[in-house]
Amino acid sequence: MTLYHDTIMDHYRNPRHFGCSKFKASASSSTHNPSCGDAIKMQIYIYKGKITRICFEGEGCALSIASASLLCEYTKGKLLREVQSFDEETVLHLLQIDVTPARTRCATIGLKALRQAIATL
Amino acid sequence: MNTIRDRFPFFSHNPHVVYLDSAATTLKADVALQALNEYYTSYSVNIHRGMYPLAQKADLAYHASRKKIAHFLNAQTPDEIVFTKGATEGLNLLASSLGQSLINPERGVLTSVIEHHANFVPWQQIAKKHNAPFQVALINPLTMTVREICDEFEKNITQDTAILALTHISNVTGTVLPIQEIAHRARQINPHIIIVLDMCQSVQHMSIDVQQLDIDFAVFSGHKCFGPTGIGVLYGKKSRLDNLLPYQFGGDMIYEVGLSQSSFAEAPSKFEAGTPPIAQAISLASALEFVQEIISSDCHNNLKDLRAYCVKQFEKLFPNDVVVHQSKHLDSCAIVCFTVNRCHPHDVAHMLGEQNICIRAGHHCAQPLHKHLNIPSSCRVSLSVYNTTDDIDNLMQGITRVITQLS
Repeated sequence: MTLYHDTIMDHYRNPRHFGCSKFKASASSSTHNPSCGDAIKMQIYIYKGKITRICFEGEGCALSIASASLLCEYTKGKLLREVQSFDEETVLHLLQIDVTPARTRCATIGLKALRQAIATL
Repeated sequence: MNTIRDRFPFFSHNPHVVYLDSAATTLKADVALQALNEYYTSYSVNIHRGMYPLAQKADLAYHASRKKIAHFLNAQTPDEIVFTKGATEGLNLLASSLGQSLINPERGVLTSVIEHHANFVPWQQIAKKHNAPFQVALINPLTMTVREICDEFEKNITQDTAILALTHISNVTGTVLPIQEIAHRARQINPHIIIVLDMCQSVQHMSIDVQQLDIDFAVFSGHKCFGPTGIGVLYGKKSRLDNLLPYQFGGDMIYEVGLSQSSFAEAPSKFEAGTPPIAQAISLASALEFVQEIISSDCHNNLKDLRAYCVKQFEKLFPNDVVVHQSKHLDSCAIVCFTVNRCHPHDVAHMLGEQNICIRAGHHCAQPLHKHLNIPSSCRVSLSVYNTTDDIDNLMQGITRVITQLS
């Protein structure tokens, strides 16, 4: 099965929650992947323990952009304590693919950004 | 008719694979595999103190390999050849041992921005450990002339530059550095400078003469010249090796061991602690005989033509989509570094991989170079004797599909 299936290509071409806000977020982070120069900035807005808004922006390969997009879509509306338990499996499930070690960093760059943002709270 | 491709059993297992990643590792030549198999199946015993005929056979084969490799590099004596796990171990050995005896807060190391991390990080870290200067020549392998490159090195060399560590061929762009000129100018400024050469990308492509290159040390890996993994060579001038401190301790590297003191064997044994990679050493010598054979044939010229064909096809078929990053003034050897506009290198390589076309993408263990060239990452096609114009045509068709899919 190709890694570049329709869902991934759709989220790569039209990433959801793309574009950060000028309004102050509850938490934000910037992360990058030194192996390819990919960089992602993420913002989360929390109200009464729930993530009410999440957005990201940056540059990267199809896999990193699609995974960040899918993760944002999945995260929005969830309780912070639920989101804190997200791991690599969560992301791979959203992507519906098996990722080789060479692409794990691409697939998890959004998760890394989300975790870093939460860690600043 | 037998072709050079028939010398690589890989293709009978993978007839449809387009292998364009030989700078990462070459495929293995039949003679290297036969030597490996012969040792493991018919005389797989340990070398050194065995008094029985099979041990003597293994011992002779191991030492004959050292002799053949010395001959291949035109070293003065087999004692100038040290077997290591690979080029990385060789460079760490040098950084550690030369670092202990030669560098200090006044005397440091000079390397270049185009180095593979293996010839960069060990020097950076050892300089840090000894609080010594660590300088980086900011050469540009795409735009600079021979003269500009030599000038850039010269600018950084002083009487206090203890070590100059540089690569023969860039593993990213394929640019061939003018080693003899650089060495000559370095020694004019500082006759005591130690010159270390990373030959990982050159050994499979050219006749190497370490005496003519006028270097003190050189390293390469067996798996990048049609041989096995797990073995590399450290060449060192005899006088330099004699003065070098051992790097690891254990069996076979000692002369005499006492309760409180030990003395060490002569080079190269003092750098080969423990049971060495016997099978790999024997196999590597066969691989280098194969290299010798292809260098003296037309294959080398064919490879030059094939590289030129690859660049020409990129320019002809994708004038607005593909940027080839190659030297304007210096020779490039077997590597074509490129980026595809609006397509991430990881996606390009992965999509080609799904079409059975093997290339590499990323920083190729050369992050300082990518930062210097302001390219976050790149795609790399690396050719070898078994590649044909069909491989290049398949690559071009693959790139067309990638651009269609990603745009």
